[in-house]
Amino acid sequence: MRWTKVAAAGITSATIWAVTAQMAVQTPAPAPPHPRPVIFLDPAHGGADGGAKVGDSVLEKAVTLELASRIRPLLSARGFDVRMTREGDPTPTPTTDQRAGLENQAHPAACIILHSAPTGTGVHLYTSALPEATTAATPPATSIVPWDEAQSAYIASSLRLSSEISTAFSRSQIAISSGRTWMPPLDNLLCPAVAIEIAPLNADGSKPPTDAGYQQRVAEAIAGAVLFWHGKADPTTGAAQ
Amino acid sequence: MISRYQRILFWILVGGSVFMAGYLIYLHQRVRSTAGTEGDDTPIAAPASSQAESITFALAHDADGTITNTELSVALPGESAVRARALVERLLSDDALPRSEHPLPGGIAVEDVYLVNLPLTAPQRTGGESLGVPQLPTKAEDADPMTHASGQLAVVNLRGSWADAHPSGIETETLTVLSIIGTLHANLPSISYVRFLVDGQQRATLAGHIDLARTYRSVDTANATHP
Repeated sequence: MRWTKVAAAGITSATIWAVTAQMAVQTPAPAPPHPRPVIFLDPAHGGADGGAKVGDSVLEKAVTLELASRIRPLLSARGFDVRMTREGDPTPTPTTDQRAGLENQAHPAACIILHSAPTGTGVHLYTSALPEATTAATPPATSIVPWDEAQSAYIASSLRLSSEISTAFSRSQIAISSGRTWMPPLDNLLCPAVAIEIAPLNADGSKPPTDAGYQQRVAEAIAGAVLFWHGKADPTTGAAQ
Repeated sequence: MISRYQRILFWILVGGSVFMAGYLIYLHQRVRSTAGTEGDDTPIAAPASSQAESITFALAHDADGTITNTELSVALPGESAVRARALVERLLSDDALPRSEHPLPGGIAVEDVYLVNLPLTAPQRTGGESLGVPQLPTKAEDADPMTHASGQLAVVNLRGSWADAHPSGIETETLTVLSIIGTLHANLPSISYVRFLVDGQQRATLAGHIDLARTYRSVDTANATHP
C-alpha cells in the first residue's frame, strides 16, 4: 500500500505526488449534476408577424413575449431549465417549422406554446387533434415520423399535462376552456405539448390579456401545474408513472 | 324698446328651434332602434323555388368554445355541390349578424364548393400501356389516404377577402373550421373529407393559427373534442 511506503521511506515530494495521484485515481469522480428538465416556452408570432390585435395598440406578439417572461423565472425557481424560441422581437422571426425544430432538438420535458386573443373569455387550452399513435411514447429510431404528425406519439402525455394545467386554472378561478386543434408547431413537436391562448378574463373586457396582474396569475398557475405534472410524469418520456 | 314684430320673430325662432330639437331626438332614437338590422351584412338571398326544409347547422359559441347543432328551416338547392356551397355560405353569413355568438366578417365568404368522388385515381402514365403492363400506383400515390378513401371530398374555396378579415386566434379559427365541417357532415353524409382553399390556393393557416393545409375528416363536431 502506498501509505505504508510513505511511512517507511519518509515523506519526499515525489512520494507525496505519487500518493496524491493514486488517491485521485482511487477516489470516485463526483457524479455529474442531474440535468435539469428542459421546458420550452414558445411565445408565438414576432417580428413582421404581429398576430392578433389584442388591445388598441398592442399586438399578440408583445403579449406572448411578456407572458413568457413572467413564466420563465417561476419555472426556473422550480428547478427547470427554461428555454425560449425567441427572447425579443427578432427579424426575421423563426417560422413555426424552425421553432418546432429548435424545440425537438432540445428533447424537452414539455413544450408550452403561448398565444393571446381579443375574443372569448379566460384561457383557452389546446392540445393537438391528431389521433394518438398506437406505438410507444418514443417512436423507434428506424421509423419515419411524418412532420405533420410528430405530436401523435405524445398525445397521451400532452393530455395529462393539459389536464393538470386546466385544474390549476380552475383553482386560480380563471375561466378555462379546453379543446383540440390542428396547428403548427403544436402538431410537429416531439414532446408533451400544449397551446395556451390568453383572452380577456371577463366578458366585459375589464381585464384584458395585457393586464399585468392577470398575466401573473396565469403564469403562476402554469408554473405550478408543470411542476405538479412533472412530479407525476416519467422525466424521460413524459408518461405518467 | 323692442318692437312687436321683433318679439313675434323671436318667439317663432324659439318655437322652430324647439321643434327641430324634438325632431332630431326622434330621428336619433329611430336610428338607434334600427342599428341592429342595419349592421346585417348578409348577402340578399336569391329567390328560391325549392321548399324550405329543416337543416342542421353546427353553430359555434365563442363564450364557451363549443359547437351546438341547431335546426333551422332553410330553402336549399337540390344539386349536391350547389347545396354544399349554399349551406356554408348561410352558416358563415349568419355568423356575420350582430347577434352572432361567433362574430365573423360579413360579405360573401365562399367562392365555390367542389365535390370530388373518392378514391382519387392518378392520371394514366404514358409508356406503360403500350407494353400492356398494368398501371400500379407509385409509392407516394399508395401512401395518400385519398387513394383508398370512399365517399366524397369537399373542397371549400373561401374568398381571400373574407379569410383576411377573419378574427385571429386559436379558438375562433378552430370553431370556424369545426362549424363548417360539422354542418357539411350533418347535411351531406356522402362527404367523408373536407379540404380548404383560399382564392383557389392552398393556405398555411386561416388567420395565423389553425392549419388550413390539412385534409379534415367529415365528422360530427358538436361539442367535439376529438374531431
